[in-house]
Amino acid sequence: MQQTGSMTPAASAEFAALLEDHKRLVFKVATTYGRGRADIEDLAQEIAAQSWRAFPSYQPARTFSTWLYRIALNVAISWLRAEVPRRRRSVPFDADLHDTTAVDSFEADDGGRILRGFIESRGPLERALLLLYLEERPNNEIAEILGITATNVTTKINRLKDRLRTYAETAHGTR
Amino acid sequence: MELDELKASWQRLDRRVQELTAINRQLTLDAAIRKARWRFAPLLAGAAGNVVIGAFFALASASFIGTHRDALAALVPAGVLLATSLAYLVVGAGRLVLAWRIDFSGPVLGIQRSLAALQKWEAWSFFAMWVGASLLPVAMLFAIIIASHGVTSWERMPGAVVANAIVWIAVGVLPLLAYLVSRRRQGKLAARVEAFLTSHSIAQARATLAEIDEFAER
Repeated sequence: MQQTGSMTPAASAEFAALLEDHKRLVFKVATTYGRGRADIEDLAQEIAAQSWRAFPSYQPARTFSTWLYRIALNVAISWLRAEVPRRRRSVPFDADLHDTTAVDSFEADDGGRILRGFIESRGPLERALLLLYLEERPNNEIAEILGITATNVTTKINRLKDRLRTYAETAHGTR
Repeated sequence: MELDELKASWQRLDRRVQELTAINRQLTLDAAIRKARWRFAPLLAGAAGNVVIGAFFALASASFIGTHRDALAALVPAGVLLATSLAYLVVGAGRLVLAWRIDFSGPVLGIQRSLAALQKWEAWSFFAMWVGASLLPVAMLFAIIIASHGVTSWERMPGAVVANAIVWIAVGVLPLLAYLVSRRRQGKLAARVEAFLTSHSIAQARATLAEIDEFAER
């Protein structure tokens, strides 16, 4: 939410180009936390908006994807914490969230369905870890994004893999 | 099913997301800028409202105190008014500063911890403002009566003073006392008032902080 002031046209153009190059990162974070097309669009825009606000403080010496992951995950986690309780109060959680998106086609195969089920069974912080693991980010980058030690990341990922394996076996076995 | 197969499913999602031209069109710089500007409007309006109202009444009550230094009957309501107004001012300014200082490009755990702390602070400050709001109108009425009829209002207008006192007790003091008694007894009324005024924000913030600590430590 940092106030950064307006950007120069050159900085805006640079940001637009970087955002274009990293669209998939934004959409995959949005897909991990949102359900259905409306959620994904809303979250993707929110991530883009917060990134635009924070961009003047971005230091080019640092990796853009690491910087963007931090913003995207912070926005998505905050969104999930605010949106889900609100939705539970207003409409049934699943009522208006399933339309045709990549998520639906993702869920069309067994692996996708299992992954989606596992993602939704995790808390927001563990989802972040799972996403970064699936994206095959190095442990030291994950540590930098989340703000924990690399050793802690290794331990957590090993536990997460065990849980995912157990979940997949159970889910696959019941089909 | 092996982890490698699950990872392959994730890679397929990667390709599908790339193919989503309909969604991709939504992610433009213009849309981002519009959204960034729009989303701060409610926060700005609410906090700025607190600051303006607080500043206005703080100045008015300070000026009133300046002209009624010798009259204790005038200083009490004016003091309440000043204290409450300053609380509004501080809460509004504090909300703006805290919200503005959060930089989403920081490490996830640290930022989420700051956000939960902000949510907790906001919930309590909202609650404190309710307490203030129950005293503010009455103190203001007393100040108006004293300003227009002098410190001998009781002798000159006993009806107005009694009516004002009844309104104060009914609107401000009784609900506050009922809440405080219920809170002391851990009653349902206090729990309902807190849940209503804070929208469960404090409980949520505490749960979030606990979750972050657990994630960081385990």
